Amino acid sequence: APELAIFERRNWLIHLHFVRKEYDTCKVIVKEQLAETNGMCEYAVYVQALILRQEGRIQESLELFQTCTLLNPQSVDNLKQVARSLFLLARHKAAIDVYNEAAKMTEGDWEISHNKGVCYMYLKNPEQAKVCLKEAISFNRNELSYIMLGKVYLAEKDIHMAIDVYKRAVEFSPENGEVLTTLGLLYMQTGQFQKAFEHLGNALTYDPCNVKAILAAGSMMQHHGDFDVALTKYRVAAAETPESPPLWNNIGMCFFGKKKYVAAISCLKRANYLAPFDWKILYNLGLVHLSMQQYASAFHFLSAAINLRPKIPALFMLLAVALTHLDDPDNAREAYEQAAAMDGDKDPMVHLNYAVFLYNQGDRRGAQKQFNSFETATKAQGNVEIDPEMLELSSKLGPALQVGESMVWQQKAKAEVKPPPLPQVGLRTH
Amino acid sequence: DDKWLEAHYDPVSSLYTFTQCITMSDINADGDHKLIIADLGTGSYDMKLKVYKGTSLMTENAIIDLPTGVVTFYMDTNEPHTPAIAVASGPFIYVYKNLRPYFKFTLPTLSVNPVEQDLWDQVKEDRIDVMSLREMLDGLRCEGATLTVRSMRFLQLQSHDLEPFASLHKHAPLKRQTVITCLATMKKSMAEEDAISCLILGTESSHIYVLDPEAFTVLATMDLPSVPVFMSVSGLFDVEFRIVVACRNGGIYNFKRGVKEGKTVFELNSQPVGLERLGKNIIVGCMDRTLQCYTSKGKKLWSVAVPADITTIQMMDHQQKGFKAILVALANSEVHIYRDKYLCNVMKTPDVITGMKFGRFGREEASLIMTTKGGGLVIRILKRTAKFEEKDISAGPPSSQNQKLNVPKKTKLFVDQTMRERENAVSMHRQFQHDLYRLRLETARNYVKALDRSMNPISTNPQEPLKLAAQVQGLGPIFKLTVNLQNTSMTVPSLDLIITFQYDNTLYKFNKSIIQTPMLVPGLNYSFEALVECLSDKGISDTVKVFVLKKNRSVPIIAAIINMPISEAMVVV
Amino acid sequence: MDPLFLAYSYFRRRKYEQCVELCSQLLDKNPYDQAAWSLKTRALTEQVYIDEVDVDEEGIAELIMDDNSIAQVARPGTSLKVPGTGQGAPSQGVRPMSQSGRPLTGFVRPGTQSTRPGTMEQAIRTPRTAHTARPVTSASGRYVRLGTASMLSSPDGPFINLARLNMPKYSARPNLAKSLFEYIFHHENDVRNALDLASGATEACQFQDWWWKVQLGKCYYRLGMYRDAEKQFKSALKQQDMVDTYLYLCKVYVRLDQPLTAVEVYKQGLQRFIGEASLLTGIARVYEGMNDMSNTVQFYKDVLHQDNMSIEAIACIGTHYFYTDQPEIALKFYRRLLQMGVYNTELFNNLGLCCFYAQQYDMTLTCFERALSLASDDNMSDVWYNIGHVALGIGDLTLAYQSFRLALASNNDHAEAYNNLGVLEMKKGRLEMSRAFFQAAFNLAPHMYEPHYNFASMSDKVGDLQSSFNAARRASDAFSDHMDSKQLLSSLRKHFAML
Repeated sequence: APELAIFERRNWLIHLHFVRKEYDTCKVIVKEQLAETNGMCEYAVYVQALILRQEGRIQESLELFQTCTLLNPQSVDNLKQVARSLFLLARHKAAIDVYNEAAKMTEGDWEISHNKGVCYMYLKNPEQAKVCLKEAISFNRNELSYIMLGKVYLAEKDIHMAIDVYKRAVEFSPENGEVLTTLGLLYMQTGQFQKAFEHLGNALTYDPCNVKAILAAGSMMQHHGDFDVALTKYRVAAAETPESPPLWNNIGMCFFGKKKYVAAISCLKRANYLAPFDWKILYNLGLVHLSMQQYASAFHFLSAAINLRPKIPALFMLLAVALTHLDDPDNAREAYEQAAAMDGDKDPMVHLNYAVFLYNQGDRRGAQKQFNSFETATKAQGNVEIDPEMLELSSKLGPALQVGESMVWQQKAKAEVKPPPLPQVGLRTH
Repeated sequence: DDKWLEAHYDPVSSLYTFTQCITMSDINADGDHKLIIADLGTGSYDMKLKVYKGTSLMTENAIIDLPTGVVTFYMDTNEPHTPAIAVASGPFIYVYKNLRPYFKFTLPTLSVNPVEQDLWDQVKEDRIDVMSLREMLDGLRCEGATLTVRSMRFLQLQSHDLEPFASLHKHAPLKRQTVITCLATMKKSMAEEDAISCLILGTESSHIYVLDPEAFTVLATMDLPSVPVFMSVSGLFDVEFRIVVACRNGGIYNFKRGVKEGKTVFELNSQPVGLERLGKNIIVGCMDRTLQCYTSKGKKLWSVAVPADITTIQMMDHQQKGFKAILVALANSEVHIYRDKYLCNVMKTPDVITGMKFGRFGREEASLIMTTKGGGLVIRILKRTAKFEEKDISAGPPSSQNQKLNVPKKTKLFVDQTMRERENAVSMHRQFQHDLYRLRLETARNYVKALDRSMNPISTNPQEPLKLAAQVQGLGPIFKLTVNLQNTSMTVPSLDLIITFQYDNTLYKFNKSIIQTPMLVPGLNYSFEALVECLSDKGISDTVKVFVLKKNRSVPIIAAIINMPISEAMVVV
Repeated sequence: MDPLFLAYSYFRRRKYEQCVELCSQLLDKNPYDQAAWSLKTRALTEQVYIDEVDVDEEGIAELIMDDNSIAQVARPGTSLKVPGTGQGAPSQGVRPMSQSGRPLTGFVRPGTQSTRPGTMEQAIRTPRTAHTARPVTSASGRYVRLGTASMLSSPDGPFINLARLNMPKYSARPNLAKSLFEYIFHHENDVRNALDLASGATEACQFQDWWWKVQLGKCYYRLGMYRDAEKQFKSALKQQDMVDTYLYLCKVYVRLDQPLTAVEVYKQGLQRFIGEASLLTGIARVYEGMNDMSNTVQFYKDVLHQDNMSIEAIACIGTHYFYTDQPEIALKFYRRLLQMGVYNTELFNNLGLCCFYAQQYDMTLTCFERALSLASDDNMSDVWYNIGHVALGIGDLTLAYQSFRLALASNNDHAEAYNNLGVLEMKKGRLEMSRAFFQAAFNLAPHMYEPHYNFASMSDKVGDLQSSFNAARRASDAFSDHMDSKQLLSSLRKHFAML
């Protein structure tokens, strides 16, 4: 009797071509095998489905994986691939069902738990997601699970837990740029700048072109006043992504720090052209124009920012400043009221500026009240460094309010104190 | 490239092969290492075992099936002490001694499902007929039992072919055979260069077999959770050994002496393209363009990103200099040499490399044989004076740091305008606000007007979520007007809609004046056509309005205006 | 007064109707009056005369079945059909592209807006009612229109019956032949007969008359025989240098897709006629066609040196400055146009935009109001669209929304408005609507990368990775340097490649 060719005889060749991404040759061999075995060679169908998935034809790939499960119902792998295809097609519920089936057949499979966790995240069920991801981590400490778990915590706004998770991830894989950068950004959010800088620095040593890390590190340098260093770092980022709005925003603010106002404006305008919905860029534009005494433009940018994000007290304060100079005291007062109301007593600058405004309007009593609030707010801030400009102004205003008619200086308290510019951290997330 | 001598490059050697099918060995015991390549020919025929002496082809032996791997090993201690060549192909290993076929080893057959065996026995004795055989086998398969090739083929046949097939095969013993997927050697008891080695095979049935070289018996069998693809072997079989295996499921497993089941070292995120072992560390090249290094316990030491897809990796063990590195061949026709995680050299090759081997060739200690995708053969020799720096050559700040930022320039005019604004800020502001209110009013008025006339192509009515788009095709005088209607909601179907047109009937003639639409399923785009004929030849055109109406409503839901293009007149030649 | 003299005076005063009437009367009396006949032909021609230099409509037949393409794969920077990435041009991220793959020009000219469509279906479909590309007609279209205009004007049938003309007789008579040729070519649009006449006439004057060569060239050009036209023009040039001839010759080269040769010829012409504005304009147009913005601007500036009133130059330079972040300079240029008396929607629209971006807020909205009042149905949608942009800049999202809807109401195919509405809907959280909008946008305008990218990133957020991948690929095709779509693609690929 003649020897019958074994179905799996070409599997190794198909696999080799597949891992080398030589998809065309691979497809040819797969076709031959499928013709020879009448479609029964499971691995050939499997690889064909994988290739289709790489090409983005996920629906077809799903169908082929389903064929695989028919050919070999015992294989967990096939079920997992079916579930993954469902996941890629955004059919998360169905994917979870299939994963559960697969879990019945095998124990301790990291992939199943991890992907289930991801599906739950998309289905907006963070509790279940956390459970699954933690399970996945216990099976296999894979950095992907850590990252995903961190994202879940962030979605729930639980920054401390997220930091915890990322810390563990960093221990496990100390060179992963994404983990380091995210951790650095989280530290920045919680105010632990030293640690943040350390991690961002690490991220940059491993990958000097990591744009996110560059932006974050640069913004910290700007905070400290190292504008030139920040600018050199931004050059690298600019070569990578020349049309990134946060990048141009930060570059603009560097120039502002160096007092090159015209350059600052042009950079900020470019950032604005690229991202018209970004309130931070509009805020900075307003700020720069206020410094340049272009009050009409400042008003315009600030009101745009407010329309996009109505809950930021600093915006109202700046708006009020602009309005003051546009000879519109009533609206200015409204704006100050809004700012103060929204803010509570946290930001002393709002109260100080309001106090100055009221004083200039002649409302001594109101000014005094605001000044008191300012003092309380400053004390409440504790030992955070106070802006020297603020100190100077307050020291002038204080005596002016308590003193009677005769004042040391007659002219209006012109200088309003401006808050620090807002550099942007991290790339725009879509 | 200053470290390597280009010894030979033949772009038309027509070699289709892989790293695992290349080896160098002194098969004639004359101190001149030959190059042995198993060529896959065209993929379906013309497979050969080629032996090169120096740069020319010495002999060629035809092989029956595609070669999966080639190794050389010392089978025995007889004189002349020449190694044999083992070629793995399908379920067989062909052993050649002195370039002549010597022995053919067949893999042990796997166990056959007892029910299946029984069924075929019954057929042999004519106790059941082919139709019931088919039913039973089908049932077995649906339960998930793995059947032999014979049964699988049997199940695929048409009914009239069943009988001849069965009678042809029923008398032969039923066997389930698997194929070899990878091949390696391991020294048996002594570590000398020419000591006897065992053959290590990986099979498609997820087993590893260790073969005794003298009698070709199976010394040990090991199990894996998945099919092995790459193997790295070290140690002595009789004393202590280690086998590291990369499998198709992306896992790396470890075997020690006496262990039957593979222990998981690590599960990779993407498929491995090559596996090598450097000391105690395992280095893997992956499909996601990274080169990763793990300890044997599974801790990830480092991971390096490479600029292109990896095609194969190979260890470079220069014993004289005591230098160990990993060669990584990339899809951009480069070969990177990594010492630990630092890139210490980049070699450019004329084509993408598919197979690499470093070792002794001819009389040269340090030569590198590479085969290319186009079928060429490249031989390079490492210069004796070549030094590889410890330092990473890609360190330091990237060059882009020195490029100046592309800040847009502002002109004096701009500065002047800022002065203007400073002086007139108040009036500018007032004017703008004033104008803004007027504009808002104007816009709102127009908007309401548009809503009243329903001149919107997208409806604002949440009960009827529809979108309309229209296209005109043709040059005239007859045009085709296609109306595309889409239901934009997620779940609400649209019923009872009618499409109608308004036009100047002295200019145009429609073949249909009303189109009834079927129920619109959400998310799908429906298109309806109407033919329009332009009645005038004066080259003027007009607009046509398309309305979508709902039964019992007098105001259209949505409407669109189409500017008809100028019709070409009938050209009379 | 002698009626012929009167007729001639009418002719000079451009009162063609009366001239034609008088001549007809004269001819009734004496059908063989050559002077009257000649005058009548000239009067009729003048009524419909169009300078051939500017006519450049390519019909569908020319586009699809073009035998003249020299290189299938032209080297970058040498072909008009394959506009390369410009040097010194702002990228697609900053300056929008038109359907033909070139950035939106500042000035609408015949022939700048069509490109080689891939298939017949595309050719018939795409630019019919679209905005950024001129509709494609078949070859006969435009010319027939001109011809029919003439038929409308002579109520008692055609003046000269071409079929019964004795060509050789007329070719031999130089005084009659020229005016007859012009009549046939422009008024009757009968290129073949014109060609006959011209060839006869050229022979009759032993190929010495450059004028006939130029006319022959024109006829060949109309018939699509570009190489012959080129020969004729060249030999005409050898005999007599005329600006017109240079212009015609370069038109031929442009049609043959040899822009560099055209520029060479223009430059030769410039050596002879130093500073001739039309030649400079020609060079600038060619460079614009090749996307070489720095040279374009250079040459338009030269044009302005010579001819301060060239609207085309001013408009193009203005657009260029606007898109390179210097709106205040653009404003200056557009103001000049206003001073020159150009008073239309487009200009006010551009003025409004420049004022807004140059922060001259007081004037912005008045310009837009003026633009709206002057707008016809075609332009209305663009004006509303730009108002929408201004509203976005102020942060007034309701105003923006309304403006974009209004843009759509005037022109249902405004792809950009669909795209922006999609973005607004996304901000409001209405994902289904925004998806429908993006789909509409990229179906209408597949060359724009924005709707593809937006669709891709939206699908990605929802988790539908397959549509996201396909859309991101399309976005990459449209604008290959777009970092965001490249990043999206690579992260999706990683997803797919993972085990």
